[in-house]
Amino acid sequence: MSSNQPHNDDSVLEDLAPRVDRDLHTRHVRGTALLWLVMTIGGVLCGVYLTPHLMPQMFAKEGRDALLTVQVFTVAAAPVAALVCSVALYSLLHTRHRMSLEHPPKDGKPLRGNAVASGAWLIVSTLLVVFLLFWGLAEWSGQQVVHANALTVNVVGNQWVWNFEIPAQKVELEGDKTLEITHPISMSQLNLPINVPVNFRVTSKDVTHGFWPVNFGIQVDANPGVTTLTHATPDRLGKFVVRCSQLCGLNHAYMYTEANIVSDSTFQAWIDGGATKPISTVTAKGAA
Amino acid sequence: MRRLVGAGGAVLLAALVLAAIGVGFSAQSYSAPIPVLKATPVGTDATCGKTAPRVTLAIGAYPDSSGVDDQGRSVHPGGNPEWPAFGPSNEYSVPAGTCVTMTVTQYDSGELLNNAYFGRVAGTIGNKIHVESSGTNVSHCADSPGAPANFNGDVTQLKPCEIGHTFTMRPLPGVSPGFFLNVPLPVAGNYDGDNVGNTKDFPHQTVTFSFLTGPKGTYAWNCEFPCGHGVASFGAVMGAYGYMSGYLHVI
Repeated sequence: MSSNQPHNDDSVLEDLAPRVDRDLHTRHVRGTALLWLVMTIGGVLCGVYLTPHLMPQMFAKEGRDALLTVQVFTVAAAPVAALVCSVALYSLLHTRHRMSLEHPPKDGKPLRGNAVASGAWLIVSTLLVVFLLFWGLAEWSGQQVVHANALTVNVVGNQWVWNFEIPAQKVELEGDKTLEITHPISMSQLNLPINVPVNFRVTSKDVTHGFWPVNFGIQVDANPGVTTLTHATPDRLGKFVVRCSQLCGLNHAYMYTEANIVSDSTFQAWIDGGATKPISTVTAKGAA
Repeated sequence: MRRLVGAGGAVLLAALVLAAIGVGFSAQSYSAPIPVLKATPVGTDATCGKTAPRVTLAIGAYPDSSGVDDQGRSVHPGGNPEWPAFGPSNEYSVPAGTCVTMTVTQYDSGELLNNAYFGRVAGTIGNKIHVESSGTNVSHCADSPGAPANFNGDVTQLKPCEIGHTFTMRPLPGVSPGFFLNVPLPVAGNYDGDNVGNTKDFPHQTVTFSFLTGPKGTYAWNCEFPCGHGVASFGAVMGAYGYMSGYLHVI
């Protein structure tokens, strides 16, 4: 009976509308989810494999810990960043309206809240932030530890030159070896022996500077009238740059110097020779 | 078509504006405000410990940057009378692979160096300077106020209270890692800081030292004595390029 009745086109369209909306909605969600998945995988891969290439080669465990932190933070941030980017990118690709004054775009449907999505976003974000907070605090507290048996180096920032002093001291090294410094040493370069823990006592004579031995992966402010402690254990021979990380005036850009990590025998030979020559010209006793 | 022309015109205009800004900044950055002082060749000798061509450079550290030196040359064109300056230029040019003998005549008084490290001579041949004192020069040492600060001989280190300025130099990145030169310049005149003469009629200290030039490149120098105003006395003249800072070009 009903098939013999004439169709009302408008009523058919109204019946179909919710299904079309649902299909369209599902397609958009799937498209966005796919884009999110691809971008997340890309972000995670970049965090794991690209980050080490963007960071300097580390000369201390502290530096490698800092690198690991950057990797973990990048990986943890990848899904969140990918979600924001995928929604924005998908919207740009699929819902943009080509400009036409004759056919202005129809107004979209009003936005409605989604308790599940909001709740999930809140919980996931909170968990991520708490995880990053605890990771960061653990890393930071590890850097505050002052080694009991370590070489003490006083670091002084001064507009616009670093200078370092190694006070007279005796350091017991592993394997019953001893590093003995009989008189204070002043130097414009940071010369250190390998595999000897170093406690840096950092201060400034004028304004705030930032002591940043780049390849140690540590950085602390050098504040006038305050001594800040940090430490690192160099475990790689070579040289790198110590910079100032706080904008400190006219010649801030030139406030850098060289750090040299040498063998303990070369370091001892440099000390024994009065510590006046460039350490690169010093040859350890018994060396060829 | 109209749209295309409009868009193209806008891009062209923006490019021109950016280019003009770039040229302006470039011209301002790279043009020396004062002519570069070239070193004078004096032959070949072993002053630097090995036989090498030698050049000389003579500059001064003056209490009044608006004044003139003994030869009538402006210390710093348009200078501030209350600011000290190195003159007659703050940019110097020396050949690579030469022995540079530099003479700095110091006319300015001082107060107290805030970091004793810069009282030590570094980077010169023998890690020493030769000082000839003229007139009555007085230190600012709290334990011996008014003590004479006349030297007349070789010096390897000065007390923080015996210093007027320093000439401290290091290379720009990638030029000559490890090069570092620090020359403390002894205080001139009395400790009231009223030694405002730029000429040899006033008490002064003549400091001579030599160093070997490294590879070609630019080296930045500045004074490490807190002789400005404001925070840590490193504002004003110490924060203005060209007075107590400059470059050495090794060419």
